[in-house]
Amino acid sequence: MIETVGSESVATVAGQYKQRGYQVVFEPDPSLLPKEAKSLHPDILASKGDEHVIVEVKYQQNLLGYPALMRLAEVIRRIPGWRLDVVVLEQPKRPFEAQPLSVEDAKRRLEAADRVAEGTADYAAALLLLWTAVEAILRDQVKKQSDDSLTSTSRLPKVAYSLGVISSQDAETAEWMTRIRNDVVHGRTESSVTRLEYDRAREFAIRLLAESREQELLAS
Amino acid sequence: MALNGVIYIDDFQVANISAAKRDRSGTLILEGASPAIINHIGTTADEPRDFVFVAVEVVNLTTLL
Repeated sequence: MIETVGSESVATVAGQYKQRGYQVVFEPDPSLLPKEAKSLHPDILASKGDEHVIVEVKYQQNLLGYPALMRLAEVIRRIPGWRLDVVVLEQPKRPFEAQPLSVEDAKRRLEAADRVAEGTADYAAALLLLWTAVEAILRDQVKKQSDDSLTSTSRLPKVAYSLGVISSQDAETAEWMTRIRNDVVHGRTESSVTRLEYDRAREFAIRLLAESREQELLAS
Repeated sequence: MALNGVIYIDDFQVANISAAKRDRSGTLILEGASPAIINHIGTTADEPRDFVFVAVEVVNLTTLL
C-alpha cells in the first residue's frame, strides 16, 4: 500500500524553494507544464527566471510505486530550462514497535537452527534461524545504547559496530549473515553455506548470547 | 581509474571533480533526479546500503579558465 505524503510535508518543501528565491505553485495546472509532463500531476512547480523545476515529494519506500516518475526523470532532463527534483522523505516512524526476542527465546532459536543444520544439512536455512537470534540480541544491544530500534537489517551490523557492541571481525560475520539471510528470504539461490561457515556463525551467535546473558546478570 | 573504459576512455579526460557524501537517513533532495538514482533509492529503501553515484557531464575546457 502506498502511503502518500501529507500536505504539511509538501508545504515545508515548498517553503524551502521559496527561501531560495523560487516562485512556487502547488499542484500546478497542466497548462504550466511541458507537454511531456502534463500527465504527472506534480506536487510543486518552482520557477526562477528561465529555470523551471518540477518537484515531486515522495516517501523513500514508495519511489517505485510511481512509474510515471521514472519516465518523467528521463524526459525532463532533455528539455532545456527544466529539471526534476525529487524530495525523498523518510517514512514516519510508527508508534508500535515489535519487541525483539528475549535472550531465552534467542537461545531456543539457536537450538532450532542446530536441529535444522543437523537434520537437513541445509546450512543456509539453518543460518537464517541463527540470524534471527543474532538480530534480536544486536537490536536489543543497539537499542540500549542509542534508542534506535528502527535500523534496517542490513545496516544493523554496521550500527552495532559503530556503537562498540561488536568487533569489526564480528561485524563482517554479521554482514555476511545478512546477505545469506536476504538470499534465503527472497528465494535466491546465490548463497551456499558450508558446515564450516555455519559453525563460524554459530560460534559468533553463542558468544553474543553469552555476553548478553552476562550483561543481564550484571544488571540484575 | 575505476571508470576507465566505462564512462570515459581514460581518466586523463577528467577535468573537474566534485564529490560529496550524504547520509541516506532523513530527507534527500535529488536535484535534477536521474532515473538511475530514483530506481536505486527506491529498490533499496527497505534495506539501505552505501552506494556511489557517478554523474558525468561534458564541459568546455576553455570556459574553465
